[in-house]
Amino acid sequence: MAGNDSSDQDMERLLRRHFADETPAFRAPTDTWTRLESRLEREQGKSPGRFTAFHSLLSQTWTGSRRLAVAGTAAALIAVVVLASVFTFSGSLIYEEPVGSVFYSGEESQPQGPEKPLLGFRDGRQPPIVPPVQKGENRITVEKETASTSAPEKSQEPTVPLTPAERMPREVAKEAPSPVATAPEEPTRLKEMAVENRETGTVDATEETTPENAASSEKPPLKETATENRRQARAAATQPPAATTAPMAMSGVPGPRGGAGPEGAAESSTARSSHLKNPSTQGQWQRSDRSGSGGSYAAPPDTTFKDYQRSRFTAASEDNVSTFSLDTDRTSYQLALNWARSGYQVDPASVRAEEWINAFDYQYLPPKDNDAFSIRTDLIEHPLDSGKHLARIAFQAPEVRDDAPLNVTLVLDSSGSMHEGNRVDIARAAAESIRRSLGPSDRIAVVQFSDDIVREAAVDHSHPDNDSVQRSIERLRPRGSTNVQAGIDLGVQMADQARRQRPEAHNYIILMSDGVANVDATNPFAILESAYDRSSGNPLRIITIGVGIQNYNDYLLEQLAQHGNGWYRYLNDVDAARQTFSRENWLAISTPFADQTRAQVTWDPKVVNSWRIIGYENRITPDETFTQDRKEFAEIPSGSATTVFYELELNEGAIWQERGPYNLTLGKVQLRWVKPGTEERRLESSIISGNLHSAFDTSPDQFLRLGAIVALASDRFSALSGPEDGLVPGVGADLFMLQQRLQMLKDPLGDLAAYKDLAFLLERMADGTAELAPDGPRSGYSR
Amino acid sequence: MTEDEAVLSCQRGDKDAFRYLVDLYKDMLFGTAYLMTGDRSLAEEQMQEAFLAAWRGIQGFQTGRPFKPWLVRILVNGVLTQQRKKALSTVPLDDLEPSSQWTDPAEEVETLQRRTAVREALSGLNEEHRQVVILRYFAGLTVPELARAIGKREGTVKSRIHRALGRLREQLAEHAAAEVDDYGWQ
Repeated sequence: MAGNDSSDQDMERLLRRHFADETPAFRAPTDTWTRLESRLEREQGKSPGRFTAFHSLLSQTWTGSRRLAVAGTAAALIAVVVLASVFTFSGSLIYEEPVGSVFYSGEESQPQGPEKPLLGFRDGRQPPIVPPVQKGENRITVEKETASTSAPEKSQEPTVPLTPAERMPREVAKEAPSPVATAPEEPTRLKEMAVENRETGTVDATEETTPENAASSEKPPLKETATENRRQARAAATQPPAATTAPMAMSGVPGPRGGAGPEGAAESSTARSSHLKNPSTQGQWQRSDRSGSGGSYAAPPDTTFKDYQRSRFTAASEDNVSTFSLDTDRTSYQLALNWARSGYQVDPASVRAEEWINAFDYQYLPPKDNDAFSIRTDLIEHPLDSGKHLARIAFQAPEVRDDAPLNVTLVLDSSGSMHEGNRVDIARAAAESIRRSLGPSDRIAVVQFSDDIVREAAVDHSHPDNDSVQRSIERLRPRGSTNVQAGIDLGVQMADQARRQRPEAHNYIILMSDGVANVDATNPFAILESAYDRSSGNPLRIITIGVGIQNYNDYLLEQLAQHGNGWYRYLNDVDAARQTFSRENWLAISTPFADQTRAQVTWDPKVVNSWRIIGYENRITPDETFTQDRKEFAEIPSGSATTVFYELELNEGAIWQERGPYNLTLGKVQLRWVKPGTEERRLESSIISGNLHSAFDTSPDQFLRLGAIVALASDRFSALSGPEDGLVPGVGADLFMLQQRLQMLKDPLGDLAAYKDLAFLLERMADGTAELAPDGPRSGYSR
Repeated sequence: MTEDEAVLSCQRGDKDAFRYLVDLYKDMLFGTAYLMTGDRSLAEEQMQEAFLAAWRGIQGFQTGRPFKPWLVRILVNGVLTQQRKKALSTVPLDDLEPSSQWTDPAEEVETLQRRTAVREALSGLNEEHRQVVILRYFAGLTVPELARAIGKREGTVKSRIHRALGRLREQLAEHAAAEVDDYGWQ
């Protein structure tokens, strides 16, 4: 026993010495008292929990109100409801049990061969593998902005003087939103065309979407104006660089990774104009271009993308409002995955981060009622950039079913390019699956086009079991060149007719093509202009389905869908086609929940120093458009989710002094949308909040971590296509870090096909990046 | 100002007196939290929370009794609650950054080796054992204070410390043996 005592004493001495040695690491931060004192002050006399939450919410509401003065009474109402709900919940978060759902969001089949196990579809065929940790569902208000028949909501909005570009083809306006359009250096041909094309009176864009206006204005039957517009649009289409290269040239953007700076705001408006050096990046990003040493692999040839400039950090003191359209597309991710599987390098120009992010299912809770989105916000420390944070804002649409029948118009590309690979087989399988998924009250029509419409193959809207429909699909044969315009024109005409006959039905025009248009108009805006649908109450929804690897025009298909009130998918094989349009999936994706859905985020400049949206480059719109109904805003199918990540630089000093790190209010998010088939406009609003210290690697929300990895990987990788000619320092290192982060999620998520796919894809991307920068990710050379 | 006086002043709402106590105990509290969590920001958070809770509860504190064990108990409870809530396993201590206070390189090497060995041995202890070792030898609580801080009898605390030291000794011996295996010298 004595021996034990003496050795205990030895151990004690050792430990005391050890801790004395280690002490320097154990010093409390020097500002301990400062932080504590500010918290004490706020606590004085108040019950702590409620006070903190209330304080931050209140100041948030004030900040909001100032801005909302513009929006008038509706906003005041929100403020009241926000306050009311604050009291109700006393700032607490709503916890709910996770529900069964799945991994890849929506109807999509995972883009892979049939031999892999199918996994996790939203229709609930499989249970969730990992119970999600839900913490921050904090939707605050839902408000009906019911259109009181005449000029709903418009009267109170400040009429934003629109540039000619915005007035006319909306699609063109999107190309040159107002911040850029005001720049004198932008005298694009498109704008000139716009002026001469329409009567020159000042037409508020929002007016066009009201039924009154649709009725009282010139009410152009599809074809008349179409012919004229088409001629000019075609002229414009042949000149796209004039419109699209200008902003790049004048912006003098130093590089895609440029940080926040005083010029951030100005640059970001340039970025918002969403342009690139070359609208048709013809497979420019290829390793062999740079090293000249015979690349082991490269991006697929003859593909067309529009490479949108990444957004930059914006100082919140200069601009604290961010407006964008929601998005449910995930094609960019599936293209990349399919290329990687097929031995091609992923083309950075093809990467749209928002479509990568939205390819995954983050298992959000469904909304409490079927009448509104749920909005969820989170804050987490930045995994690549210590000192910065990531905010995630997620919008989950409820699963709804309606009894409205469908009018489906298939527009099938039967041109020669469809002969490559199994494009025709995929298109045929998709068309046939859709036909079979339809119910007896639905109607389906078929249009085929090559040089022009294939007359003998056209079938007017019929019962889905009609023999001629089936026969037309079966006899899809590729030949000749590609006149997408002719196909869309006829499709729109037929759909419009069907809509008149059955005004209660939803209308889908489904284009299946490789997008390689080479006859007549080949620019998406020109094509849409001729087929412009002026009805807003019950729009024609253009869904585009892409097939093929090489010789593929992503730009055309994506833009047609975005500006055609629909969505865009990619099918890599016949099984994917059957999966995507299986009856179950079809029911979900063919039920629209919200039209013209856009969000506006307002950061509290006291808390947020600067912000940067990841992806959504071609969905960002000028802030004033938030109150305008526009076709380019997203159509959101039932049950689908949109996730957006922001990179934030927070004012931590102010946070500690004034707010405290918990349940920290960073700003607010508002969502506007139109209920399909009605003129009913909705507004939802939520506080954006989170905890300042949510370490990335220990966050229990593995889906938040996964989303952040996807967002940052796609965002950083897409920088490689920027003006720096692919040699962006640090991208390789970032991808490596993200791979490590993904590896840490292997335990909870490794079984998911989506996890494996992502791990594979990141590896391929990192490989390619290493080849690009042969001296290592941070070579130390000056450029 | 003595500790008792400071506590009395705090009970009258004197924030300067509280600052005195904070300055007195912040390093101890932070270090203890750091050793228990292995995470700097978590430790900071826990320290802040403990001080806040102390301020809120100081009215109920019985003057004349030692303040330190009371404060440590608040901290320990906070850390344990959070670890339970987040199921956050304690991070091994070897990711603590080395201190830079040595000058003699030879001694430095020896010290570093010793420190690494002790860290590893510490991280090999179970939660209960590590807790008493940290509180006893880092936070400097006496056995009665420690008993109060973790809400156990003094006898329990004593035997726990004894067993913890024994376990540490074993771990260090294993470490030394492993080193011989590794390098084949000595």
